[in-house]
Amino acid sequence: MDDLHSAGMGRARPDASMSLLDDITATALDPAYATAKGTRTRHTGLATFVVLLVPGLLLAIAVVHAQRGAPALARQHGQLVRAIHDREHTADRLRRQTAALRADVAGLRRERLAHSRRGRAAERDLTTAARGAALSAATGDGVRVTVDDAPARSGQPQARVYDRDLQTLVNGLWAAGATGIEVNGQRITSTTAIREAGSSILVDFCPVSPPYRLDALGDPDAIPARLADSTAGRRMNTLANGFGIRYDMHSADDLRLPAGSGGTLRYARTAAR
Amino acid sequence: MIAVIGLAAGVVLGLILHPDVPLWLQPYLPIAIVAALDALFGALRARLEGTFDEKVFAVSFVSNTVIAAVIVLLGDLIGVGSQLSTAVVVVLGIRIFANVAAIRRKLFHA
Repeated sequence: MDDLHSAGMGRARPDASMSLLDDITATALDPAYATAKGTRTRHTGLATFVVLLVPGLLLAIAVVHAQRGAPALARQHGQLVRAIHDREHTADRLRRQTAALRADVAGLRRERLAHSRRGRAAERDLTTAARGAALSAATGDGVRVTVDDAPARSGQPQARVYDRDLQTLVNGLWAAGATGIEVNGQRITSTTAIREAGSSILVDFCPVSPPYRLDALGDPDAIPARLADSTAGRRMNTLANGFGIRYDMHSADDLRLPAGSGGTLRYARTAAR
Repeated sequence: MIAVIGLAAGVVLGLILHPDVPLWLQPYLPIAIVAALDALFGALRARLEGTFDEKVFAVSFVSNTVIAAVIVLLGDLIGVGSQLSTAVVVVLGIRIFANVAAIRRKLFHA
C-alpha cells in the first residue's frame, strides 16, 4: 500500500496511516485484474458463461427468498382483517335471524295461548315477566348519559373509558331508580356482561365503540340528582375532572329501548292434552 | 456478451428452479448477496477497462462471498454479529460505489 502513496515522493505521506477510505476505494477494482494475463484459451467462452451463471443463480435465489418473506406479514394481516369482517357479518346475520325467529315463536305462542282462559292468563304472566327481565322493548322518558374517551393529546397516553367505568355507571343508574338501561343499542338485562377484550368494550358480547351512549328509563329529574350523590356519580365526576373523560347527562323524552337478548329456553315439556 | 448471457441464464435458472434456502444459511444470504454484487460490479468495471479475466472473477466472487459470510458467522459466535454485518455492508457498499463511479466515468466520460 505504501508505494501507492509515496509514488513520486521519496517517503510515505504523513497521513499514510489514515488511509482506510482511500485504500477501500483504491482497491475497489481487484488489482488481480490488472496483473492477470488474459489467458485466451479455447474454452474461455464456456468458462466465462459458467462463472457468471453462479452469481445469477445466487441473485435469483436471494430475490425469490426476499419476495417470499417480506409480504408474508402483510398478507397475514390482510387475511386476519378479512376474516374478522367475515365473522362480523356472519354474527350480525345470525343475530338478525335469531331476532326474527324469536318474534315468530312469540307470535305462535300468543296465538296458541289465546285459545283458552288459562292460556291467556299465562300469556299475561309471560308479558309481565318479560318486561321485568328486560326481554321486551320499552319506551318512555328518562336520561341519556354520554361517556367518551378523553381527547388524545400529543405526548400523553390517552385516557380511555374502561369496562369497570361503564359497569359502575350502569349500577349507579339502577341504584338511582332506572327501570331500563341500554348501552349503544344493547339492552342491559340482569345477566348482561360488560367486559373488555383487548382495547374494545363488549356489552353482551357485542363490541361497542366510543362514544358510549347510555339511555336509562326513569324519572328524568330524580335520576341525575341521585346519581350525582352516589359513589358512581362521584367516580364519573373524578374521571371527567381528573382525566378529561367526557361525561354528559341530560333528560330525554321518548326513549326507545330494544329488547334484551337472552331468555334461553332451559326447561320444556310437552303440554298434557 | 457471453458473460451477460451467463448471468441472465443464472437468474432465469434460479427463478425456474425456486430452490429453498436452508434455514441455517438464511441469515447469511443478504451479506452474500452484497458481496456478490461487489464482485459483479468489479467485473463490470474490469470488462469496460479491458482487463476482465474470468478466473480472477471466479476467485474474487467466491472469496468475497465466503469471507463475508464467515466474518458475520464469527461475529455471531462472539456476539457482535449485527455490528460486524454492518461493517461488512459499509465496506462493500463503499467499494460498490467506487466501482459504479468508475463505470459511469468510463461510459459517459463524465
